[in-house]
Amino acid sequence: MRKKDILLILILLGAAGLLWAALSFAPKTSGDTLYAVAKIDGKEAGRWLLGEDAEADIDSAYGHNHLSVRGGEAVMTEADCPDGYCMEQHAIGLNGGSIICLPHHLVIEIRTEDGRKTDGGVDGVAK
Amino acid sequence: MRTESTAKIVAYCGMLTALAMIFSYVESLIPISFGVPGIKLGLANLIVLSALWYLKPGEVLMISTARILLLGFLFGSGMSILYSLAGGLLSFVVMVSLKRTGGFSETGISTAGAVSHNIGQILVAAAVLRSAKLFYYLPVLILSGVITGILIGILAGRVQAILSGTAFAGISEKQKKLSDGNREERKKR
Repeated sequence: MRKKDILLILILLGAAGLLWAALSFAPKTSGDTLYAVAKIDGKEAGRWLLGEDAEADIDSAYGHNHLSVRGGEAVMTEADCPDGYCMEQHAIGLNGGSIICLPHHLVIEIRTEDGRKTDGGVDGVAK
Repeated sequence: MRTESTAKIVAYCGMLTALAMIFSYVESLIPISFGVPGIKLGLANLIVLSALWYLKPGEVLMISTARILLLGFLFGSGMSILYSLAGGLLSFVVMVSLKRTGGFSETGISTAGAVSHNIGQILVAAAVLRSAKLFYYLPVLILSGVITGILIGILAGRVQAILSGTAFAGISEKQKKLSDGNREERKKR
């Protein structure tokens, strides 16, 4: 190994360290702006930015639901349907997913601004 | 022009291509996984790297490309060829340029080659998946490239020490004379 080799290796390690530091400070959502989108009968009934906390009533002919967006996650906190399964479903956030309230024909999904679904971008499979 | 020497070099290229393919296969048998796709020892780069000292860059490029295409068609898919080709070509260009500068030993050239191979693959993967998030892998892949690059570089140094003084080491000299001869021939015309 010569001096230049060691220099090169140190530069590469430094670059890796800097990149790692830069990426770990960057916001986790890098790129896509995500929304919690409510759909009733497949038609959009409202959308809320995941990045901002919000409380929203979703009322329709089928009934009443209340959606809370807190800390980048959306969760159903109220529903006047008989079973209330939607309130037991997990909060949905960066990694996508959906909350479904069957009696009210209501679906909450995580979508990007242009309507794509998101899987958090972590598990892309390339074969 | 056909001489014994050209035939010899073609034979060496074929042999080295076969050896590189075997190395890739042997490497695929190693069952250690690091959780991040793309981390591997890169044994085949030992061939490409060492060949840089004995053959012309064009011939080394042929060995590298032939290995990738053959392995891709035998065991891989269309996409895996694309990834390997991007990594292989980028690392080839980087290694040849570094060797030309004359200031680096096998270890430095090997390290730069390994890192650029990983970067090339990430670039293609990001383009294919249309996701910039793949760059989160970059620091890890640079680090792994540095480690494997150093290991392969040390190996290449050992291989060179053993090869010096054998018939194999002679081909670079012969080839030099041959290409000089070609140049003179062209001048005469």
